Amino acid sequence: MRLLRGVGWLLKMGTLLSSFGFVVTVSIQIFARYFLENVPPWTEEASRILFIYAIAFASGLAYKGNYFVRLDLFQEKEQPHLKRVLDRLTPLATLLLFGIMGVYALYMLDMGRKELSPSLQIPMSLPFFSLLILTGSVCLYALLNLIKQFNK
Amino acid sequence: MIFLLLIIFVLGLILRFPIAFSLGISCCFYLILKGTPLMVIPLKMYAGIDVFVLLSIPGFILAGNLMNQGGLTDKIIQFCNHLLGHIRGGLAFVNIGASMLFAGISGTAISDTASLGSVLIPAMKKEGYDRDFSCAITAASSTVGPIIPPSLPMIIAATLSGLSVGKLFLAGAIPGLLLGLGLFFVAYIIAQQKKYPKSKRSSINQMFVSFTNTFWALGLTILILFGIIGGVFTPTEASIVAVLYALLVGLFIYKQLNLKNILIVFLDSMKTTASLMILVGFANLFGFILIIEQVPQTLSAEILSFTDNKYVVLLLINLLLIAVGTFMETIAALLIMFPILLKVALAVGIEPMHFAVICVLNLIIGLTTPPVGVCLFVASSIGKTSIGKVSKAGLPFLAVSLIVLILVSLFPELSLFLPRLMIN
Repeated sequence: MRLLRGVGWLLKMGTLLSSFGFVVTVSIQIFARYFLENVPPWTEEASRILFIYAIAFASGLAYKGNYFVRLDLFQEKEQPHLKRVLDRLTPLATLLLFGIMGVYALYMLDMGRKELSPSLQIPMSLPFFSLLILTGSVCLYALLNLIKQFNK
Repeated sequence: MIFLLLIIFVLGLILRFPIAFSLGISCCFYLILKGTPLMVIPLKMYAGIDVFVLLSIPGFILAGNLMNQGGLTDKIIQFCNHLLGHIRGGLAFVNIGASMLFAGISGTAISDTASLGSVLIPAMKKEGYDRDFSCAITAASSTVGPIIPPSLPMIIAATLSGLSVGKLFLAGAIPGLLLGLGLFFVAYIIAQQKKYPKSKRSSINQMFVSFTNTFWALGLTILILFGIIGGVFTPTEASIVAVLYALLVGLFIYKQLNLKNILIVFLDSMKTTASLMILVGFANLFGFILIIEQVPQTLSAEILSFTDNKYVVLLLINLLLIAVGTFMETIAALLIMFPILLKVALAVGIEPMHFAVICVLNLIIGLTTPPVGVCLFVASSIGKTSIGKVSKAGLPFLAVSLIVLILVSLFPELSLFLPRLMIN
């Protein structure tokens, strides 16, 4: 439980720091446009990377908080047995989807080691790493949800 | 093969998977069966969200939430009440007016229904308005939000089509105002028929004080609009300026923000953004498959072989989009339908900007279309009444929304006048 709380805290901090980060970076871009001679070339790329990291950190929390929109057309008419099956099927399918994506994100990470980003000149594996955070955190909370559904 | 993709997607929706995950799962099946390397999944997801203009989405959501946390909803309602409360059925007008003002800040219909409805529906019931009417007007008025700038669906449409965000914001302004005025008209007639109450006329002084309280919220909309249209900021920069503005107003003028609720607002806004961006990412993958399968071209050819009459095509598109908008959340529906139908629209000579407005208008009208419009659900659950009764009470509002849709579809100038003025 302490480990899970720690992961949750890390995701929250990651979300906050990267979202503050992109607000500050875009602010620098605006400030530079009007008050400096040149706009630093790295601001747009840095803000995009920070934005993607903010999404990656927040994705697991969004899954946990039920932020993803779904159609609940027949929910009220569902039999309890069917409801139980569907409640288990959703996290299972999520786990599979994001699991597959996570495995292939590893290949992407490897691919990105040889490429450099255009303006920051950092290895592309660094921005691609955000996909591992995204898939990992969604998988973790989907797994916890699945266990919860089976223990009900 | 493409039918299998669509069947699995629909099956996922029926099985209550989130829309984004239904898209992802159907694409995953397609790629496995087709033998395409699954590396495409993370690649397309990353490419879909690595777009600078999409940064404006968390910016606008953050600015709206920060302003709302600063007690802005109550101030907007008070201001509208001072301005319109003395007319018979005044609270119904307050509902519409507040939605139009709030629209400039929140940008989504469902959040408008929830935040304004939780204050206005109980207030209207207390004043003697029918419960079903109160819920119906709240749901109907909240659809004005996503088309009046700044509009999140318009940012998505701009990302999908490469059109200018600023011009699309302007293109939605007149249709949004028309929709608001249409709702005012219907509410006025119903209020006269049912003899709904009116409150005492406010003094000029009361109006002025209330206006000064709301001024900062109006200032935000003006700053965003003129900043983008005047070429001072890009949409992303405008959204971040809006965040800084909302922080300053909330901290030093309304004095309702502190570090704790700023952190909560940031976290909440980023969770909302993450759920939207995962949807955008999977929709990018879905769109990629549709292009490989040449679906837009095939659909366009099929429709054009049936008719090449612009107005018949528009009618077919409108009917399809309202049906989709009834079942599906606006941004999800836009991400899936817009790229497919744009090809058809271009083939019969519809301007892309005009088409974007038609798409957004259809999808937001779908939010209040019975039997399953999402805003009807939200309003009926706040008002603790059945969705059937709210749907029935909402029919006159739906009718006027459809009239506005017909006008906007038939007269492109309603959408194109302001963007053209900007170019000139």
